[in-house]
Amino acid sequence: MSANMSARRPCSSGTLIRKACILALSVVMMAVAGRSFATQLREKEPVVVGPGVSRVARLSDYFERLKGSPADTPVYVMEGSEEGGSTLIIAGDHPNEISGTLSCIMLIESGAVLKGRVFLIPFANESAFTVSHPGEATPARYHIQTPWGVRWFRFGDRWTNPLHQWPDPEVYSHYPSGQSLSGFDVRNLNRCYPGKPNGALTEQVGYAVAELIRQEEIDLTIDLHEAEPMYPIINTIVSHQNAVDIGVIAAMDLATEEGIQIGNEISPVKLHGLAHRELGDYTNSLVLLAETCNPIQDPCRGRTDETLLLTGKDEFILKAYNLGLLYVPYDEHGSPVDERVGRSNSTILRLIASFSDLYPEREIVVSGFPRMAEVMERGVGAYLQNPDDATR
Amino acid sequence: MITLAYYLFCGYIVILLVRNFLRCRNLYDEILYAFAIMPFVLRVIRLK
Repeated sequence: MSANMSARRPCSSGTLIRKACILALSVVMMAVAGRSFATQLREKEPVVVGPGVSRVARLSDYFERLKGSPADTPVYVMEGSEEGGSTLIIAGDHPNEISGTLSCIMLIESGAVLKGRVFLIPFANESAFTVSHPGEATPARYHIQTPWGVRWFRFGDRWTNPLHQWPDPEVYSHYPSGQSLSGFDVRNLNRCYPGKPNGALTEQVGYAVAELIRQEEIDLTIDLHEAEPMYPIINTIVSHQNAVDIGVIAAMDLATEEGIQIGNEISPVKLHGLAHRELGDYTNSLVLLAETCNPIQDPCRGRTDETLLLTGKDEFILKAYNLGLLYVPYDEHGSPVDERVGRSNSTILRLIASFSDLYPEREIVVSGFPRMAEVMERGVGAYLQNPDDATR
Repeated sequence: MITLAYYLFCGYIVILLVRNFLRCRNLYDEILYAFAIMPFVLRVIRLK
């Protein structure tokens, strides 16, 4: 408290006017910031339910406790006319990894399933879509140009919104392994599988996803992610040990048929909480995870804006590549969103094809879903429908 | 319980900052308090 505050003399009219002006300025700034935060919290991008979608369920349909919570999220179900196997495609575990969410939305809006069933969760950690990472100056939204206009999408954080789950423990003890993880990872959905029904909100989401797999008897689960170029697990398929053959065949086909180089890893047995480990261990599904390259996630990046998110061009990352610090090829063309989404699409299609080859009695056939070459030629926007027709 | 305590604490800080803002006579202190209060108000109304 400053010394002049203790002087108990009445305010002059000039002082009162000055205080009123400063307070008004403060209120205006709070209103502007508050409006921005409120929009981020409440406004969701429209998703067009395409003709291939049979029904739109909710994650809470599989775990009642999520009903009405900020973590409940849509589950799009596409069913073929012929019986076959079933697959679940999860995206948005980490809402700052956008290619998986866009792949899901392209399939929902433009694709079809001819045989079997496909379940899609494009916004798996719905709460994390309502917040940006503090201190990183990341954009709250990004925009995709389409032939008829512009579509917008939320760019969220890696972790559940602290408004919805707080406080973090000093150390997060993963359930059921008991492995100690960083306290903040109790809000990281891809560290919370297979979930805990009476746990924190993010653990409940993990449990709901596992319940969906169990109740719908999902044969194949594909979890879509992106990673920073300086992270070794990138442009890679990570397979649970029960699904290694599917991952290897898909990777070989991607390389030989489409010229897409993709790595292959087996899920580490002692790295707990991740989809490819826990959903594989605690459900009967064959589980794989795929990663593409997203430069905006890299700590050595320069200016952090929507352009970087969509083009993946960054001079500092290029410099890091020239110094041999990256785990992916990188040049002045960057890592554009069309390439990343196309890579996710091709990976999904190859994984489904590999599974169908190995388990022909559980075959799944998807159509109208473009591969990487087509997406790179026409752009992601060519496969997105007009939001004026959207329901969500 | 911890969340409730957190919001009560934030509300208490808002009251202190408003009180100091009203009592101080120095322009720079007034601006300081008017700016410092913003994140606490946004927390109390659960926007941030």
